Amino acid sequence: MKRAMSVLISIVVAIVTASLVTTMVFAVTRISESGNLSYVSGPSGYPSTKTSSSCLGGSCLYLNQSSDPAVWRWPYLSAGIWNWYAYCPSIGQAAAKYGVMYESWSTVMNQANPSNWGTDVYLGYSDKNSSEALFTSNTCISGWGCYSLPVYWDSMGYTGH
Amino acid sequence: MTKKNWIFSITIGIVFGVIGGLLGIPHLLQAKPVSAASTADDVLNTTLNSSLKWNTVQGTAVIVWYGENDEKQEYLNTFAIQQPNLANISVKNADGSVAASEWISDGSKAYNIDPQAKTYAGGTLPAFSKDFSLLPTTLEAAKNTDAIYRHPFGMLIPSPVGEYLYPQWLAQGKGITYNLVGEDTILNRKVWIITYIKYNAEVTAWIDEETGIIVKYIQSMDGRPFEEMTFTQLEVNSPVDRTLFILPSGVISQ
Repeated sequence: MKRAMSVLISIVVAIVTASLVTTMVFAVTRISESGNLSYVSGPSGYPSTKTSSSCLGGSCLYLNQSSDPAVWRWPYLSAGIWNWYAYCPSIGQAAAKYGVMYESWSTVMNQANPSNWGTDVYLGYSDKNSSEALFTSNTCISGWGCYSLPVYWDSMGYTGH
Repeated sequence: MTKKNWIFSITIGIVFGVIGGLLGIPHLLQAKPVSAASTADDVLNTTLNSSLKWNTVQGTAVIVWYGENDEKQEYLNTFAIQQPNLANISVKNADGSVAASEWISDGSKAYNIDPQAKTYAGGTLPAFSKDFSLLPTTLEAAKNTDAIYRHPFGMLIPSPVGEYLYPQWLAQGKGITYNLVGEDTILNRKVWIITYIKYNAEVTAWIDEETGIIVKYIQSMDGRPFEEMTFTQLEVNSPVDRTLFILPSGVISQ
């Protein structure tokens, strides 16, 4: 009887531990945009702040579209980044280019697409287990509308290897 | 329970926890019961599995963007794609006067070409462009994703036409009620017409019944026109000139 009880407790402990570790492994780590962007290239001047409940946490940073774009990145991060996400505020109208600094790939997220509004949009993953940083800019992207619309920097998220 | 049993139990828990996390068990646990099938669901299912329903597509699409002061920007997109990852996409002003950009994928590398400067910037296709593991394939999965997952190759196409050729995002829209309002014929192809509203945006999309490709799309914001996209030519599963997928001579690396 004592042996059976011991086995039962072992199973319960194993299940509880597995659930906690599963959640931790899968959790998306979030980085807020507020005050954390780092300048990469282009004209100087920090992005402006937009206070809006449409932004995660109540505010986003933005720069208006330009053919002379400024590139900003989230801070360099430790090795082991896997999937990248960017939150799309529900007030966007521009297309935003996102990319990683070292693996040299980029994708365009259409901030005007209502399906993207109010949710994370998957951007791709970093294949190499090296330190990476995500960048975006206020460049006009050919084929999309370009009327000096705001390109928003809202929070980004990632999962680890 | 002895100390040895505690250590054993926790170790087993950590091992299965890591395996569970990597396999995405949290996603499976979030799955909710399937709602009753409707015709609108059938449309969304077709878009979700669209890229399985064609091997090649080629054609043209005109996209018009409207500014707040009634300005208009109009682009002609020309596209040729062969599954899984060969593509040639060019964007010109609608009158064809200026070639704005060209993007070519030869299956291993992708090139952004500046037709004016006759220069290109190229890079290896990222590994995720061939990885379909995150893309939902059922409506139940699409409604329970933690993010919008676009087609892994389509999301690399730096032109809005990529969104309509790879419409997997449509079925993943959160908090949207889709209305199937009728059928029509565009370019001699049968299409479904769906409408939906989210926040201040109103959308009407014409979806090819055979392939799930969005062949016409109109979006307004606060009642004002914002975007109109129309396919003006579409060929499905016709042979494509393979030279379209090769970096042309006469362009030099930036």
